Amino acid sequence: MSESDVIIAKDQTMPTGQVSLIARSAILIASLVFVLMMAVGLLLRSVQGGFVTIAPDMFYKLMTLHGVGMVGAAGLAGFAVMWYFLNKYVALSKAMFLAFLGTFLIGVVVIIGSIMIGGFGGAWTFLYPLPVQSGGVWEAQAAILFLVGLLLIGVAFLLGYLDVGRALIKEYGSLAKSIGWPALFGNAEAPPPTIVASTAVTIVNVIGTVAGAAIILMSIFNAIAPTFSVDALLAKNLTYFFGHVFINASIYMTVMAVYEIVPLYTGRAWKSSKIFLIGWTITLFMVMAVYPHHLFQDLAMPPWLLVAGQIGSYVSGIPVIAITTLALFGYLFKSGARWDLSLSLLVLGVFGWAGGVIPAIIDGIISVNKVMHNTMWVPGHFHFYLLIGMVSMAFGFMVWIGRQGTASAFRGVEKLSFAAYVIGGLGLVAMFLISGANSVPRRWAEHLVQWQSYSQLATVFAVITVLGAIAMLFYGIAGAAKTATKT
Amino acid sequence: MQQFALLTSLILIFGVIAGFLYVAINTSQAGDKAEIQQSINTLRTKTLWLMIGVGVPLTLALAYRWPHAPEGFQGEPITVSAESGQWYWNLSQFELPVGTPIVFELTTVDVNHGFGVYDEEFELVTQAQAMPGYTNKLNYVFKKPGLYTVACLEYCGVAHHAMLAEIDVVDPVTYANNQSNE
Amino acid sequence: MALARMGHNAFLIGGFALWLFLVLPGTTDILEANLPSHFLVQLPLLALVGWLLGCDPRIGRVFRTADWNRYGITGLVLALLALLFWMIPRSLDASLIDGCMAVAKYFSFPLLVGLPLRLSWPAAPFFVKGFLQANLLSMIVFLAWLYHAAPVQLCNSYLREDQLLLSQFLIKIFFVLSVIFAFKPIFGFSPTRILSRVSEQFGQHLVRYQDGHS
Ligand code: HEM
Ligand SMILES: [Cu+2]
Repeated sequence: MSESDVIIAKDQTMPTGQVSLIARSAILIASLVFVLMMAVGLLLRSVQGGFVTIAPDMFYKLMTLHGVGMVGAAGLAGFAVMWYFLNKYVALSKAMFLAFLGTFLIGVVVIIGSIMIGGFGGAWTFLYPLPVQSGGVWEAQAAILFLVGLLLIGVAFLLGYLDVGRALIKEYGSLAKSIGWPALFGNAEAPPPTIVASTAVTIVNVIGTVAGAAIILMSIFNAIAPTFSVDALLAKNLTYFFGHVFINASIYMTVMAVYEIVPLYTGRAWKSSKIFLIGWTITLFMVMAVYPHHLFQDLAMPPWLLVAGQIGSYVSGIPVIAITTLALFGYLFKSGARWDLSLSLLVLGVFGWAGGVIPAIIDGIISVNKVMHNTMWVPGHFHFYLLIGMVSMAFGFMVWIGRQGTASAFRGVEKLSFAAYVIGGLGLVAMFLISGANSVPRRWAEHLVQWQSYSQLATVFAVITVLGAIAMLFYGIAGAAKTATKT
Repeated sequence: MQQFALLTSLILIFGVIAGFLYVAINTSQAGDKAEIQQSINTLRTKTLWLMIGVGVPLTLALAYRWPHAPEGFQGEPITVSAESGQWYWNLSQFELPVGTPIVFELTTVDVNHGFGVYDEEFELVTQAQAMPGYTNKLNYVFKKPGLYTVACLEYCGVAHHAMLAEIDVVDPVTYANNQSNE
Repeated sequence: MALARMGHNAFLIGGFALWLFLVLPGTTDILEANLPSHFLVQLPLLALVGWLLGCDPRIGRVFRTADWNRYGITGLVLALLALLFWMIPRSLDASLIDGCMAVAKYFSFPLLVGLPLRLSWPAAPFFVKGFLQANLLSMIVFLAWLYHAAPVQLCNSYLREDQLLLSQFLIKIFFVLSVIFAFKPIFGFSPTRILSRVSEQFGQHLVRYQDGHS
């Protein structure tokens, strides 16, 4: 054991045995999907750069696959992280997790079938009425299959969240208590950070699922009986409400890995301070209130909703930067923590989240949105907080859980892979943002010649990212294999 | 506008990067926990007040001048109907005068489309959505003459990227002449 | 003594009285006169009949000990299937024209929806309850849309205006039900407890008042 080795403290309160096994399998599945879908993203970018030629319908099918695969894997990874750490505090049902995972995977298979066999290419946002009016490219049946797949995934998450809600209520009495309101408005003791964040996630995602299921049911019925039309504006509102809540919740769940693992390195416990509780209560409402920022260019929307969306977008960024990031700074600064791969990934994740919020807020200003909406700026900001943010945290969790309690130095190859992921990711995101600032539209299978150089550079960065991500997956699998042989 | 947004974002992002690097460099040393906690609390209070005290009024101010009503939109506007469909734009006129308020009445016969107007340098100058069952009115005043391109900015299926149209923006005199010649 | 026996049978008596009242020709005429009251008053009241009958401890005991209704699954599935059948506009329509269908409705709502729900709901695990509640909410939005978006008259007996009215009612019910369902998980007690607290305090107040005067 060399001097730079770090012993990752074996925290006695961390779940072991079957719970750990289940969480490890789930995070490995999610990470495998991340890497596969990154390869698809790489292909998309190289098509836009003119390096590779594929037919536009294939491009849009792969874009749909990449979007839905990533969003689904993000939800799965986040849920695995949350579920694992919640087991420290409350009694969750393993059977329910397996029911969740099983239903989720069936949904995934159905969706892949609808895309690869049915030819569905209506994008993961399934914005009505495109799924059922493809202009003759795919059949309504493919759309129905895709929607049924989504519905199954929704059912899976609903089951999972209901079990989390049940356990929280059983342990704390009510969700108001587990989100810390008695501590916020009185003198009661605050629940641990993971409990507070889980409560917020559970509430918003159950509501989001109800909205999502409603619009999916309408779309399915409409696909069968086209004379029953859906109001396009209502559909947009429901779809983006659901989509916004779901993807944000996946970040909220993964950040629990930071709350729980970083203290093992710093020796400073992550505390549910008053400001932390305020942050989560604001987030609870804001994440549901800001979705109109997806609708700034829908002039039929009531203006007050758009203004509320603009202010809300800004306000919802405040907790990320002023509370989460600064808290992390306080816990890390001169803590004597030794850097290793998982700590680096977790801190990188918080950086990605905080950094990605900035272009998001900028685009959340209506006058900017006028010339940035649906340009590459949009994938720019969300790849920032998903690729560099959310996925890094998920990778950090995966590496940590595989190495729990063992000595691990930050080896040279690991540093190199980490650097590849950081540089590749930042370059990829920067190219998205620069393309957006130069008016390159998003979701275009073929780019104008003058735009191709952005995509070409981005392709290079994407290759580097994918290599880095493959290395991370490798470390995750190696860790899992080691613990498997040990026990 | 776009370059300004990019610049602002980059500056702020570099600020965040600098913060993370500073903390990362100082992580491995040992320090007094209570003292650090104290200074972080002060920093947080300041940041919160800055973000609320300056940021919220700023975002309100930015919405105060209603962004969907462009500058210089005065006088009798010219109304242009823009019907969209998979995968075409059907404009009631493809020639328009510079410096004159224009109202684009956006409709669609099938799915959602995005009416994005690009200038000669292929910079996006304005946009709005066209959605089934609604007529969205996009107000705009062309500032420079030239050949503009309308491109679709809402994903609408397999030929989404090929859904283009051109608008010739000319000076008002030429426009009037051409109109009366027709 | 007679009164006590009445109290003992209050649920049965109440249930049967309500049932009888609901099937009186005059009542059915009024409630079935328009779609919203048919859908939102008559059907829930018919289900309530079954619910009341199920509150009778003797009936409850028989069913709760039944092996085939463990966790209430059988009862809930039965209730759901019956509900699903009656949610099809055509079935509801038929109950107005076809005497057999009418009788089926008057019997199946109490016996196949209300009664099994009452006997199975308390036994159901948390996730089943939550799942059904969430589904019900999505379904209500879906139904509201269905009645609103229908390009045609769905029922022969009701006009399109009736459908639109029903749709609006459903949206309101959606919000009310959302609050009701969310209340207990969020605050830890059911909204009815506020009522009982208030009446309790009122009672204590009364006692104190009387004490002060004696
Ligand atoms: C190597 C890494 C990645 C590459 C090269 C990549 C590339 C791309 C490309 C080229 C697009 C289409 C952009 C356009 O609109 O023209 C895209 C869209 C998208 N990506 Fe990625 N991506 C990567 C990682 C991720 C990750 C980690 C996530 C989420 C966890 C993600 C989520 C999405 C989503 C949700 C879309 C939107 C799809 C749509 O517009 O329907 N991507 N990505
Ligand atoms: Cu399009």
